[in-house]
Amino acid sequence: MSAEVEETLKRISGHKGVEGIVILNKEGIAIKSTLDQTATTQYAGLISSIAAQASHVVRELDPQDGLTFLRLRSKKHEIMVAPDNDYLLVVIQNPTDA
Amino acid sequence: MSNGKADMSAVKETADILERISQRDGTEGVVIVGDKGMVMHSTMEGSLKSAENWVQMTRTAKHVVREVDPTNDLSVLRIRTKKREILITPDDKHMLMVFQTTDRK
Repeated sequence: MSAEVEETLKRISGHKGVEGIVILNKEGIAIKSTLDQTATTQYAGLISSIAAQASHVVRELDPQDGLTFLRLRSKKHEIMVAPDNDYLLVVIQNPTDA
Repeated sequence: MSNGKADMSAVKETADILERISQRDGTEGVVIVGDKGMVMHSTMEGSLKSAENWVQMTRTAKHVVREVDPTNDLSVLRIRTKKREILITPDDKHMLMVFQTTDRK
């Protein structure tokens, strides 16, 4: 991965409250992660699925529109998903720490 | 003793809350969806006829949260698109969906 990407990941994970970062490729495979193997694999499958579904319902509602960001807020943390043509960036943060 | 009066005031209170939310700057509409995807109340004329796919997607989101931690629960789902942001707040029987435009005054 390029230095710029590494820099960005470092910057994000330096934010107070960030619990983890996972980058998935188009196939839903984690190419980078700050979480352990088990958690990474778990997130990879789950997030690929929800991102695809969200993207789909958005287009169904309006074919001219497209998903740009997804946030799953729960009691304990927030999962943020930023899709891109080739990748999915997933950041898990604890909003109370941020 | 009938609960008619209690129901009526609950319905009115709900309508008032939805009205207040929908008046907020940038709000395109507020929709309440039942658990099978039927639109129970909507301030947007006709654009969302069946929300079944939205209900299913929200179920998946709930599942994501629970899978990672069974003691955790999804509280809000925010979907941001090029044109709008949709905030989904699910509970046991319903789902509240608020559609907001991204360009607010």
